[in-house]
Amino acid sequence: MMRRLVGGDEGAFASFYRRFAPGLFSMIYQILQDQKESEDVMQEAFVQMWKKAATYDAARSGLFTWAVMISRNKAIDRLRSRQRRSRAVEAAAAELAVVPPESAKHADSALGQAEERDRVRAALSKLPGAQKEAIDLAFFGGMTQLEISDKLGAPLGTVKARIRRGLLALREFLDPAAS
Amino acid sequence: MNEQLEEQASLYVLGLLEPEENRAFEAQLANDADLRKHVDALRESAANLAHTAPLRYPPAYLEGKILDAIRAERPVAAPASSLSWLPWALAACLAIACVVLAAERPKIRQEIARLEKRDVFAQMKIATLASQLESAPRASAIVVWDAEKQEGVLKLTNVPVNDANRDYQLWIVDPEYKQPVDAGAFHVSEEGTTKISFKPKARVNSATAFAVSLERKGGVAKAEGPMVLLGK
Repeated sequence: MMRRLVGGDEGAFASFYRRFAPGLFSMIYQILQDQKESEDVMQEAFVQMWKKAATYDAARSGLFTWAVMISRNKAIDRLRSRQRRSRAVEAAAAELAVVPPESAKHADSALGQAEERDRVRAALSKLPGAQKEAIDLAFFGGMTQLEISDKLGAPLGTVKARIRRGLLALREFLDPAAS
Repeated sequence: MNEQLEEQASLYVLGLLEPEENRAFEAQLANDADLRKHVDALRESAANLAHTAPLRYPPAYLEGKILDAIRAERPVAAPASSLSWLPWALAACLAIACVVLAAERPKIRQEIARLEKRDVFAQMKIATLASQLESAPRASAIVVWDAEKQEGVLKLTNVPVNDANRDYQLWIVDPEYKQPVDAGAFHVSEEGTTKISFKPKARVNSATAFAVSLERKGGVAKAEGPMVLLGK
């Protein structure tokens, strides 16, 4: 698919969009908590992917990972620029506990992504709460190390250690063979 | 690999290193294949966190908007020297397509059904509304809004029963309007769960939030009463 994208194949880009749009939009919205801004950021991210398709290195990352990192960077930049970090994080934390309604679950399943979501959620649930919280704040909240430390009331060294242990454990749960 | 380097790698993939630390780490990364491998693996794990966000579909129109945007980025192709072959090529393609279509019809029908199903969800917005009432903290609602059809369903749970002279009223916030758009008044006469279908009084192009207020019987043109539920 990436070869076709690099070659400027618009059909390949449309397939790429349909495959990843729901997952990426969910993440962007979780970071920004704003429909209009999420749509703008989604557009910026996909345009960048289109322009930078030639820089994708399949040996170093999966396509989804590449798309997530570009989209997340855009969303975090937007979040920082409007400086309403804490409000979005609190809303994000609250929404993490919300079970999607039946229709959304059905649609999710129809797109074949439910299994992957379940697998990641199960892996994440195995992490100690403090590690999960620190990683959530970094990934979705776009906070700096110091801000996470303030928010959690934990020393900076502890926050760094929680993130390190949490990510390593997540890697082990998701891909035991690679660890 | 020592713990300090592992820590730096974890912070790096989440974008948590300070600019100076980031530069130093990237310099190290350029010269250390093992470290690069470790960072790549951590990045894959971190990217998976995206799956933990509650599922939310982008609106259907966004795909077209993004495709338009990438077309604008595309370099203009040089025109072909002659297009005299084009009608013949089109005729040949059409003939092949007819044969393929005949053979693949059941599969194509299935695919169309699948796409139609996907688009149904893509154009929908689902919002959860939380209670704004201290007296009824367990009250909640879910709105499923179909932007294309301009209609939706509101499912209320544990919302207090109305007095005879009062109704609830649903409002849709759309930045195009100064005031929230009236989506109809309704009466809750039983405890538990109530499901209501609604259509806004004006076209809503971007529903950014939904609210329910308590109003006088029959509803009002502009919200006056207390806010009961709010969400986006």
